[in-house]
Amino acid sequence: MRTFTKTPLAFTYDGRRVEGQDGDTVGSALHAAGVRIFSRSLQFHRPRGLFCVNGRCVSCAVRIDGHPHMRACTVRLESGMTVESEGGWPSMSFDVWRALDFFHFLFPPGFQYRFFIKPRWMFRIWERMLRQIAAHAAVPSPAEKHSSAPSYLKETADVVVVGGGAAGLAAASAACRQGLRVTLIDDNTDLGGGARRSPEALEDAAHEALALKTLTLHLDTRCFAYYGDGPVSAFRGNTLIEVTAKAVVIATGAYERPMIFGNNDLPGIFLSTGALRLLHRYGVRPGTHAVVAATTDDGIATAAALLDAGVHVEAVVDARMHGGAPSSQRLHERGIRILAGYRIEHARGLGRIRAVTVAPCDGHQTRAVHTLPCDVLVTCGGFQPANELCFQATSQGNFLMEGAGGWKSLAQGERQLAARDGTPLFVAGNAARIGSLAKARLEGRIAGLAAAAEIAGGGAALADELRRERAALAALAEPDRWEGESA
Amino acid sequence: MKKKAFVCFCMDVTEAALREAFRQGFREPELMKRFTGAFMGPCQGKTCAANVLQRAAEMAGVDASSLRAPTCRPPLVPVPIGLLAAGADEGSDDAAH
Repeated sequence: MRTFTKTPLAFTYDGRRVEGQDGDTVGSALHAAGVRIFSRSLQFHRPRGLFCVNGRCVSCAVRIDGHPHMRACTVRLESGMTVESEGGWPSMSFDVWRALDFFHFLFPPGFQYRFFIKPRWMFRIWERMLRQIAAHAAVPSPAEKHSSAPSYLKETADVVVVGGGAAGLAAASAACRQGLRVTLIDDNTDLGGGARRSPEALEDAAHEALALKTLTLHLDTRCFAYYGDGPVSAFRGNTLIEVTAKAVVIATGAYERPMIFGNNDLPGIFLSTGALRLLHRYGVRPGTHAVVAATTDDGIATAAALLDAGVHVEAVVDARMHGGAPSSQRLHERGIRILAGYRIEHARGLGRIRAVTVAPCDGHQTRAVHTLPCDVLVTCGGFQPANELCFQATSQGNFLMEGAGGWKSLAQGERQLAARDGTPLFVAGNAARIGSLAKARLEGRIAGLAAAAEIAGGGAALADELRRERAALAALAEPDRWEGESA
Repeated sequence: MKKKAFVCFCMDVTEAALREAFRQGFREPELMKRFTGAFMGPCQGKTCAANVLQRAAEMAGVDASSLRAPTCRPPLVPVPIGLLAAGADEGSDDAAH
């Protein structure tokens, strides 16, 4: 299962002794140990397993040392941890409530607003029942005290950068070089973010940033709010961190979009970023027989990475008619079947994926439908900008979809906003607009320099540099790319 | 049984549920959110937002960028609730919020 091994760490999962290894998260250790069903879904009690491996979704929620509803993929494994599954009756792995999935027609969307609302007394009974079925985690009683009192860290900085990917690192180092005190917040335990997918491009930037004297680094720290008139709030473990700054750079990157097809929630289906994280960070192969569904060249690269790690790639299902050529040519040479112009019709399996059925994209009904056996399906459905912080800080605008709304003008202009209290706010990298690594770097550098100019005024040299970088960004001339799945 | 295609994984909202919501007149993403529960799960739209907006735009026959994404409220990620009170002793006015 593993591509590399480290010191083993033992813990218990539902009373059973399981071995993980140093550097694992609870999620990766469980997956490596063969656990596929991590939790039950809220309404239909469908089995769910690791999916994003990035702390975004809650498919991997488990109870860890008595703390309910922890995302297993975000908690670093420690020796002796007690991990329990949540939800389901009589147990999570054998759940009688799964029957709800087959009687779904009794619960149409919005049923909770209509059924049993009247008579009023009936609603109370109904409500209690609903809560029992839907509540997956028992709240710890006050007597069970699992953690010590939280601690509090209040900091000030000239610039706070949220996100330590390509754009965030570039912004932080540019601002530091202008003599500013910078705080960098990232939710991973290492720098690089999405840029880690091409590590060679990253090493220099990360090393460079670590060498900066005026940089305060908060790794493994999740930023959860920036209200626009107060500090940037984040937390790491049991510590609340509030940073007040003169300028804020948002370089939070992007979230991968799931693909939509029948049974797209079966355990064994991964987002490509998740499968690669599992592989590269923890050395855990997501499965042995993979099908990769692609809509962009990221999918081709993902298939190559899986292949390099010793996963048998059954086929690459590419929605594009050209099937990713020329970049997919090398895969083809390695004997990988490439289904161009195909999309995933549905996944098959009970409890975990066993096969996928693929069908030609619209307009090519003459071609055959295939069923491909697999134990892991990796989907590359494009990205959406992770820009909620901009939304919060400015409390206006549509920052999600590019186009006629506010976002387009921002994307073409300065990528500068003002928070509610007037604090200059810069957006850089994929959080502004999905694009290349080079674009993210340039935008980051511009954000860092512009923040410096905003705070310290700066001289002609700074203005000059800023002009040069902006010209370089304009010269990149990347078309507005709305990365969507075409399936 | 027809295979469910999930748009929102947190709240088990399927593509069919979105269509049903649209049919009943909940056409704006903000209304769709309240009717179906998409965006309201623990992930707060990190998984579903773009897909819901795209589906909503397709059904309405408009450009996705003309739709406003539902308001995004803090906290962005699940936070242990005790943490929010951590700064209270410092006497900062944020603690009073």
